[in-house]
Amino acid sequence: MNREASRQAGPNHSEEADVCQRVRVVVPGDLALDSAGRQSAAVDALAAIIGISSEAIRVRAAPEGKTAFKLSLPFAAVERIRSLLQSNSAQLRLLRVERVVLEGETGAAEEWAIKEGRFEARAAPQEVEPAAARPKPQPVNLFRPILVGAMIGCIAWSLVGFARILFPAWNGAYLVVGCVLAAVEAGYSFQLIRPRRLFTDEVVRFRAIELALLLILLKAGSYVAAGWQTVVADIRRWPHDPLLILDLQTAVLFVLAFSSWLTATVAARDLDRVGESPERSRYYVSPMQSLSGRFFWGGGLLLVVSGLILIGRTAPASRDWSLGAILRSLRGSPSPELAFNVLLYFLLGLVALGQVRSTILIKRWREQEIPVDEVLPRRWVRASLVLVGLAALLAFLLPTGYTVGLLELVGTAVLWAAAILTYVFGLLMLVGALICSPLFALLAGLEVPPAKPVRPRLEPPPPAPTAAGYTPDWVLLMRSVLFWALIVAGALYVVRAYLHDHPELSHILSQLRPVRTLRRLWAAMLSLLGRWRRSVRLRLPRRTAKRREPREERGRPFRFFRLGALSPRERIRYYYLSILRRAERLGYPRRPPQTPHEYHDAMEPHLQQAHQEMDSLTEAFVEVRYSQHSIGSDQAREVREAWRRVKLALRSLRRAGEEQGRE
Amino acid sequence: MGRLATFLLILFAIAALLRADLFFSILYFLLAVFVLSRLWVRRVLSPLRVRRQFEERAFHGEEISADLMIHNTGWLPIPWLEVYESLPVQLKTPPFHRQVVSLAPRERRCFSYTLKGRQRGYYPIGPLRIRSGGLLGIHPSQKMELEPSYLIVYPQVLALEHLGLPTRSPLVALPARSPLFEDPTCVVGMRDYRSGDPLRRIHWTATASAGRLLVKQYRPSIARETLICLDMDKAGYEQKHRFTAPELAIVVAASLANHILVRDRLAVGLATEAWDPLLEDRTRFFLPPSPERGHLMSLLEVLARVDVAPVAPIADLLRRERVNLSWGATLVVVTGRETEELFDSVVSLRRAGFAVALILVQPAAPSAELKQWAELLGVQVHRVWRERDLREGVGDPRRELWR
Repeated sequence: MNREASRQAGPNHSEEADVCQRVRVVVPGDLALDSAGRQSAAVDALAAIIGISSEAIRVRAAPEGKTAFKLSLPFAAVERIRSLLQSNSAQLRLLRVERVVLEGETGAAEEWAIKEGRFEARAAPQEVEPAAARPKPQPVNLFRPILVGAMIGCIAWSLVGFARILFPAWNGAYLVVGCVLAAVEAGYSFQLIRPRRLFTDEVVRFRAIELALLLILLKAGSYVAAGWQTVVADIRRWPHDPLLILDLQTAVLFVLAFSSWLTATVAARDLDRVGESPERSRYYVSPMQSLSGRFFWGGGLLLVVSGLILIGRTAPASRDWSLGAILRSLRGSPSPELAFNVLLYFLLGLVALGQVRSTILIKRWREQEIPVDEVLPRRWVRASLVLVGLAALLAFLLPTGYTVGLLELVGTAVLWAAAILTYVFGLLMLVGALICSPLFALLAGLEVPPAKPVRPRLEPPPPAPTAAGYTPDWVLLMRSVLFWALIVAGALYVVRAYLHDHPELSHILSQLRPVRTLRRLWAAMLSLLGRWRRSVRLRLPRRTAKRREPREERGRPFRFFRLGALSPRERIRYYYLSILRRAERLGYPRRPPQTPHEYHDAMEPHLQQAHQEMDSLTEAFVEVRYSQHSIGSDQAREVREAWRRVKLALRSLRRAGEEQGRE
Repeated sequence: MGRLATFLLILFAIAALLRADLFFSILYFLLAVFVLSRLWVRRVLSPLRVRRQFEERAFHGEEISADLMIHNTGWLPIPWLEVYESLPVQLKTPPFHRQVVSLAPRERRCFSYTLKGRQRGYYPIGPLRIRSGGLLGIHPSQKMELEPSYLIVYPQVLALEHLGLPTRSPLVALPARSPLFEDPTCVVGMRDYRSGDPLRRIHWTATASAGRLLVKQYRPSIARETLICLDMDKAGYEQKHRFTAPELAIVVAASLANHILVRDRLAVGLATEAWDPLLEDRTRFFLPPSPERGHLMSLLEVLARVDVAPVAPIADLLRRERVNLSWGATLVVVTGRETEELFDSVVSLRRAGFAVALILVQPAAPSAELKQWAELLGVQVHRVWRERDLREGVGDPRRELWR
C-alpha cells in the first residue's frame, strides 16, 4: 500500500517512526484496581497478540469502569488486528476484548464489537466534533508560546550575563533574542504540526528546516557587532574551510538555543496534554507535575547562575577567592537587574501554572458536563495577576538589607543570656558575702581590715562627634532582629502548612524520638504557662473584685488590736470565732442553721486529739454569748489553753490534708 | 505544593548563608505567594452564605422549582466554586445539580432546578457540597456542606371509581342517615383541644379555669366517623409484592380519606404503625377522625412518609385503636393479606358495634372462606389490584371487583 493510498484508506499518521494509525481496545474491568503484575500481564498479552512492543500501549481509564488500551500502530499491525477480528480470534476473546476501534483520518472510525461471541464490524459514531462545535483557536494558545519564550529568555539573559563576566567584550544580546525566538517558534510549530498527521520523514524535514534556520539566525547574530568587511571575508573563507561555519562559539550558542527550542517543544507538548485522562501506569507523570518540575528546575538554574554572576561581580574587586571573602562580598550587594530578571521568571511561571490549573479544572468540569461560568477564565487570569503582582510588590517593599546574620544574632542572644546569668550569680554572691563577712570576721577573731583608699576614677573620653545619618548599633541590631524574625517566621509557616496538609508525614515525624522529646518539652512549657495563667486569672479578679466592692461591705478595716486589752467575755468570743475562721479555711465551715453544739458534733470526728478542748471552748462560748453574769479572767485563761490545743489540732489536720494531696 | 515548599526551604537556607539581596527578594516573593495563596484559600469559604429555597410540600406529579442562592459577603473574590447538590433519584434524573461559578466580592448568584414529584415520600434535598480552592493549586481545596432540607410529596389521590370502591361514604350502610353525628345539646364531658377541632366546640369557661384549651364532648347519637386502619407491617404483604402492594395500599388510604372528607364532608382518621423516616424509627400514628380540611393535609403528610417495616400485625392495631372510637364508627382496614387473626379482630369489632370494611390489596381474589365469613358478618370486602391505575391515575372499567 503506497503512502497516498494508505492516507485515502483512512489510517492516521503520527510523527513517530513507522506509526500510522490509532487503535483503541476496550476490555471490561478497571485494570487500575488490579495489581501491577496483572496489569502488565494484560498489556504483554495484547502486545504479543498484535506483535508489537509493550511500550507502544498506553492504558487509560474508559467509561463504565472499563479499561482502554490506546495504541499507535503501523499499518501492518492494524491489518493484523483486522484479520484477527475477522477470524473471530480466540486469543482476543480470551483477553475478553469487548470493542476495538480503528480510528480514521477524517474522524470516521471502524468499530468492532463482540456480539453473541463473535466480533462484528460496524461504523463507529464520529467522535470528532462537528465544525460548528469545534473550539475556535483560543487566545491562550497564542499567548502560551510567548510566555514560555519569555521565561526561557530570562534564563538566557542570566547565562549571557555570566558569560560576559568571563568574556566582557562579548555582546550576547543576540543569543537572548535567538533563544526567545527559538522557544516561541517551537511553541507555534508544535501547534502547527499537531493537527496535521505528518509522516515521520515529513516531521524530520520540518524540524531540520527549523533548526537550520535557527543556526543561520545565530550565525547572523554573531556578526551583528562585526563590520561588513569581516563578514564578507569570513564568507569567502567558508568554501576552503567549512568548519569555520560551525566554529566553537557558534556550536555552543547553537546548543543553548537548541536546548531552549527543545524545552519549549516539551513544554508545548505538556501544555497540550493538560486535562487529559491519566494513564494507568506507574511511570506516568501528569503534565502539571512535569511543567511545575521544569519550572522549579529552571528557577533553580536561574538562581545558581545569578548567584555566580553576583560572585563574579563582587569577588574580583577584593582579589580574594576564599569562601569567607566571597560570602563577605556577597552580603548586601545590590543587584536590582538580576533580582528583576529572576522575579520576572517566577512571576511569569506562576501565572502560567495558574493558567494550566484553570485549564485542567475547566476540562475536567466539561468532561463531567458541569456547566461552567463564562466569566470564570477571565476572572481567573485577573485574580492570578493580582495575587502574583501583590506578592511581587511585597518582595520589593520589604527590606532586604541587614547588618547581622542569623547565626550571629543567635550567638549574640546566647552571649546576652550568659552575661545576665553571670550578673545575677555575681549579685547573689555579693549579697551572700556581705551577710557572712562580719560572721567570718568574728569567727576568725580578726578585725575587719580598713578600707583601701579609693583610686580616682578615670573618666571615659568624650564620644567622637557623629556624622550625619549615623545609626546607633542597637537600632541596626533591632532591625536585624525584625528582619530575621520575619524570614524565620515565614519559613516556619511554610513548614507548618506543609505538615498540616500532609498529616501522614506529620505522623511519621511525631514518632521520632527527638521530635517526641521536643514535643514533651513544649507540652510541659505550655502546661506551666497554663498553670500560671489560671493562677493569675484566679487571683486577679478576686483582687479587682475586692477593690471594686464598697468599703463598708469589706468590713472594718484592719487595725492592730491587743488581746489582753479585751474583756474576758470578748476574749472568749474571740477564741471561739478564731477557731471557726480557721476551720472554715480547712473546709469545715459552720453553716448558718448550725448551733454551736451541732457544729461541735460535726467537728468531733475531725478533732479526735482535742475534742474535749473543743467541747469546753464551745461551752464557754455559749456561756459568754447567752449569759449575763460576769466572766472572770481565770475562766478566760482556761479557755485560752483549750483554744491553743484546738489550734494545734487544726494545724495537724491541715498538714495531713496537704500530704494526702501531694500523694 | 510540595515542590514550592521544598524550594522555599532550600532558598531560605541559601539566602541565610549567602545573605545576598537577590535571594532575599526571591524568597520574599515566593513566600508572599505561598502565604497569600494559603490565606486566600483558607478564607475563601467563610464569607459564603448559601440558602436553599423551595416549597416543602408537593402533590404527586407536581413540579417544584428549587432555588439555590449563593452570596459572597466578603471582600475577596472567589475564583472558582464547585457546587454539587445531591438530589433523590425519585425526583430528578440525574440525581444531582452541579454548577461551577466564579464570584466577585459581594456578588450574589441564584440557580434554579426543577424537581418532579414522581413518587410520594419524604425526601432529603441535599446536602449541598461546595468546593473551592486556590489559583495555583499549591494548597488543598476547601470544602463546605449545607445540611439537607426535606420535601414531602403527598401520595397519589385517585377518584374512588377508579379503584373500584363505592363512591358513597361511609363505606358501609349505617342504620341512620342523619347528618348529625353527635348531639350538641348533650355535653358528656370535655377533652383537650386537638388540631382540627372546630372553634365552636371549645368550652371557653372551662378553658379559662383550666388554663388550657378544652373542647366539649357531646353524646354520640350516631357515629359517622371513619377510621382508616392501614397495615404497614412487612408481613402483611406478599414477598413478591412488597414494594407495589404497600404503595397501592397507601394510595387507597389517601384516596379514601380525600373522598370521605372532601366529597362527603365527614370525619376521617388514620391509624397505622410504620417506619417513619423523620424519626428514623417505627412509629404508631393515630390521627383521630376530624372533618377539617387541614386534617386531611396532616393525614396525607403521614401517608407521604410512612414505609413498611416489621411492626405489630394489623389485628393488634385494630384491637388497640378501637377504644379511641365512638360507638358505630366505621373502620376501613387496608391490608395485603387475609389472616385468621384479622378475621378474629373484625368479628370482635363487629360485635362491639363498629361497621367494618376490608380492602385487600392483593392480586388474587379473596378466598371462599373469607367470602362466606364476610357474608355471614355483613362485612364488605373489596379487592384492589391495579398497578396500571397507579401509573395512569385512571381506572379500568373492566376492573375485577369482588364484593
